[in-house]
Amino acid sequence: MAKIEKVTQGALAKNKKLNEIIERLNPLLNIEVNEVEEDAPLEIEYSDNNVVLRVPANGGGVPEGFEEETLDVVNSDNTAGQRVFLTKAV
Amino acid sequence: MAILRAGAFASSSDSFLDSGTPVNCANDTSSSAWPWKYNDGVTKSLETHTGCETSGGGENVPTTSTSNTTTESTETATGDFSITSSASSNLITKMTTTLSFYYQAAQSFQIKVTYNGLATGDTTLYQPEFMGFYDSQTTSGPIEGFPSLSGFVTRTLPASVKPALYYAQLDTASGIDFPEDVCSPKSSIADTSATLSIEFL
Repeated sequence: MAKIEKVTQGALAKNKKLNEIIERLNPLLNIEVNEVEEDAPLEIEYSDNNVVLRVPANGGGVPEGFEEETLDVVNSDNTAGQRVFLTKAV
Repeated sequence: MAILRAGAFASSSDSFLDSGTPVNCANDTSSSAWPWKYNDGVTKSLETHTGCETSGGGENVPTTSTSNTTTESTETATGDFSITSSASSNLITKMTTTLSFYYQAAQSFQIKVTYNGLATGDTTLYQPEFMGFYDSQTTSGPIEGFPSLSGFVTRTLPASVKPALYYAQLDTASGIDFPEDVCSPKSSIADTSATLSIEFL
């Protein structure tokens, strides 16, 4: 998405707060999402030009306390399939 | 929406058993993760003429022995499947042949069930007991015949989230008379045979 140009002329140009907001807003219009290694931390990097999100593979792995279980299912077309469920003992 | 698997075996009161009648994924016999299984069973009841003994009145009366056996096993199907069984004795032979399974299905599916039953014996052959076919969808009485019985039925098994039972049963029977000399058991036999086949349509 094209970045928003600062206001340099007219009455609005006298409102410095407006341009401050535009400066902060523009990086958000250019967000980059990168998948990184599974055990890497989730990172967010801000710069004047953009925002970079570094997301671990598999969305960060299995939530703490849960484990993956593969269970058999009957698919809607009557074929046998499998689904991975996140389960946690209670 | 997918249906979560029950089983691996079930009964009329429990859908999560380690043994019993197997639970299958509809008509899908291709899965290695969820192999398609069924139970086949044969019950034989044989009455055998063993000889004679002298009654209190001094005449010879025949002696007999009976034998009852039941075998049941769980088999894996990779497509259509069947069971064939036979039994014989020199007096009365009765046999029950069954196929059974539970299934879960997201939509209905069809099967074709073929039955063949036969009773043979010597010239004194008679029908000692009911001989016929019926299954879990039979509503108007069994299909009967003697000394032979053959045919097929097409069944629609409805969708079911919980394990639903299907079974097919073929009863066959054959009997022959005692010989004139009741002390000399016949060498001829009363024989019965049965075949049940299930085909996925």
